[in-house]
Amino acid sequence: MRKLLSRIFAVLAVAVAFYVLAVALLFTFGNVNWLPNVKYTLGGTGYTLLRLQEAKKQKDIEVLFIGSSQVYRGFDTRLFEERGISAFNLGTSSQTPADSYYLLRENLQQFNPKVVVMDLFWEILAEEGVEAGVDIISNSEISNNMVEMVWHRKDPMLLNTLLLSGARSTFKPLDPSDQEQFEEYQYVPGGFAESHRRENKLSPESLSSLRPYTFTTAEMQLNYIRKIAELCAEQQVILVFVVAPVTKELKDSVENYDAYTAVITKLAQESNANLIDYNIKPGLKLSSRYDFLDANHLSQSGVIKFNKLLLSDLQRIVPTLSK
Amino acid sequence: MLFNSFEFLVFFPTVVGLYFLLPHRFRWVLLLISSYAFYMFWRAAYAIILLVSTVVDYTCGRMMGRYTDSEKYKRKPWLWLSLISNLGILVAFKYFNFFSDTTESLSRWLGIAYAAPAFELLLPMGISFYTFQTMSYSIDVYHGRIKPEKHLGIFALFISFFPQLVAGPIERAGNLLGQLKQRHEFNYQRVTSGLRLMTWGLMKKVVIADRLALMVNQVYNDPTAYEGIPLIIATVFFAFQIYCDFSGYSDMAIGAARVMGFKLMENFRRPYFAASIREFWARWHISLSTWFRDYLYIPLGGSRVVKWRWYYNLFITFVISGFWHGANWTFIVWGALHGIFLIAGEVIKNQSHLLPRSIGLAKLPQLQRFMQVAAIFILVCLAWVFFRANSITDALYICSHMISGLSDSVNAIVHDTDGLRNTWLFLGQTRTSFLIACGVILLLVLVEWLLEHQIRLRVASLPAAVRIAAYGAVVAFIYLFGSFKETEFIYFQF
Repeated sequence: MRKLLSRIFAVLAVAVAFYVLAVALLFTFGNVNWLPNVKYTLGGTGYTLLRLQEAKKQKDIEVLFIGSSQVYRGFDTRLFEERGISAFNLGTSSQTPADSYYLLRENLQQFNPKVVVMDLFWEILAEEGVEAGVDIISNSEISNNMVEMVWHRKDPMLLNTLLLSGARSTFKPLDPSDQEQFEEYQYVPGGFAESHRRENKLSPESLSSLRPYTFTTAEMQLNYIRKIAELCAEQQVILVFVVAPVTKELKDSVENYDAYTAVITKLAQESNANLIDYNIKPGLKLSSRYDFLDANHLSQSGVIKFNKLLLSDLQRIVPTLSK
Repeated sequence: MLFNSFEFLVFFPTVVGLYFLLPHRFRWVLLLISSYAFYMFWRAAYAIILLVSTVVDYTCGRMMGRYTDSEKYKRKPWLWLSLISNLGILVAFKYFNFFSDTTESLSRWLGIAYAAPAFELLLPMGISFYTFQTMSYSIDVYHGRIKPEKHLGIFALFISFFPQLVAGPIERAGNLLGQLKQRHEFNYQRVTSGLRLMTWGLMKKVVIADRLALMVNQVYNDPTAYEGIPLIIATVFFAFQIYCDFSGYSDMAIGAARVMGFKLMENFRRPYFAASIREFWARWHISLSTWFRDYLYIPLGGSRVVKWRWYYNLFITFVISGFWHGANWTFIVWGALHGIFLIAGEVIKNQSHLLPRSIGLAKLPQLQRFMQVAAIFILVCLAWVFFRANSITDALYICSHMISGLSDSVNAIVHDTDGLRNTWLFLGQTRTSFLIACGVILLLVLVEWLLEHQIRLRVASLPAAVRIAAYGAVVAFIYLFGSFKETEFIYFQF
């Protein structure tokens, strides 16, 4: 038995050595992303690096936005600042409630917002992948919350990203110059990413032939939304759920939108949160051609129309805003 | 609990450690508790069905054991009770809604208004496996092939033994019951051999099957979006996915049992090297095919009947085997296709040498064998389309558009029409993922080819340092290339 245990230990030690060697070689001389379970996206899409670096310096804001690309490309903090409301956009690519939870744990106390606005796009509620977690860990400092995120998700890909991120920051701290720039949209201080394109890149034919989508939920994501509600309640932060507007065609492609509405309504009731679905709420007239860049991301004209309405809704829900 | 889960990583070493520490007389208790815990980790309440099946078959076995072989007719009611209760459980949980839906469709077709009842019952994991295992016990006791087991605890362990409980191999009482009573000492060689087999099984599951599943699901869950090449690639990938998924489970089951000193029956013997459908079934899911042979095909008369009746026996055995896999017409057609292929093989058996001889292939036996293997693989893949497709309509679409859409798909891929190259050639994954999938399939084929040609990799005779390095490399490979989404094994649903 002793011989067996010592051999198993030796095999595991060799396995760790092979792992380190393979990852280090590819990281140095090739592309570490060739390994299916190793992903490291420093400075990748969505300007997460710049956003998280800026977030570290922010304190005592009034409104905090969290969610996926629809958030960082749809909630323009400058429009809030113009009205004297300090805001920060903490959206990242494909961010799920699970990712939002750990980002909030990391930042909520320091931001100390009056209100957290969380987008509940239907596709994100079904998401079980860890791509967004990889994006966040690749672009942030190692912290207890990041370690806890990896522990709870139990996905080797996240663990690998954490190890790589840790190893990298040991040799070279994160630097904003590592951020890749994207032609399609530019980072704006405050977390928003602005696009200057004025017309939808999808043709009307492509938009009208979107594949039907059946809404489903991943129980894990619903549980994390409940945990976010608890976290906000602990810190006495008002939580507002929103569904950012998408093209009418995309909304209509959801075969069971009623089921989706029922799920988020129940979540809002359980969480004691307000819920505004801007795909249903009257008063927002958006053109699929000019107010959107694709099926679900707003163009700047769409952002302005949407944010104007959102702002007045938030002021109604939280009358103390900007006072 | 899944073999490819974090929980099993804790569960298995704990059970094995305690197993070898405990005195022999308490070991069956440990294994029985562990086996029920293993099962209840999935759905605790469903262990009741396992328990009911155990108690009924134990009682039936004991009652049949009261009568001598000359009083066999007195055993019959107890055999019927065992068969009806096991098949009743299967029908209630697995087939009720299928029969109900079929009756409703038939009524509608006949113009009769009938709303069939439907139950939303979760299919108990491994139900088809353990019910077949207990039925074989009752039938063997009835025929006097084995003595009924007197020890309820040992019998309960025979039904619930955790390595093979949820997806086989479907063991026979004659093989496993005796072993459960034997004392198994710790044996270093045997334990490491079991661990090696478990590691190989895990690699087949998480590195090959689960990686391929991403691509196969992309196509098979929306087949009408594809034609030609992607349908062919997805079908070939599925052939390897299901083989690695199921044989990977069997390897882990056999390996886990071997670590503790138990020898389970072989379940797969490199089936894609078969040169005939008959040979394929002698290599694929051996514990099930021999079960159907012994308890259905032979009682029906086997081959010792007139020819048409023999063909009927073959066909009906395969149709029922298909139905065993799932309550869906797709599985019935899959079974029927194998039955037809087998009968066709028997019909042309005496003339099968004529074609190779006429084209000179008979002089090149290795090439002839290779072509036979390739032909059988194509037939098996064709049948897999029905096994994997979500409906008969989908399966027919895939079969018809594999060839008819071939030139269009080649054009679309070569010229990247509508940006389809990546989606159609790499099945929605990245080029790297696709190439990795192809690479691991080639690795599997190479290893199996070496084993098939009895070129044994004498790992055990290598120096310890080399062996440790090799095993370490394999563990690192699994960690870096495996998919760890804790996806269930395909055969769990059966």
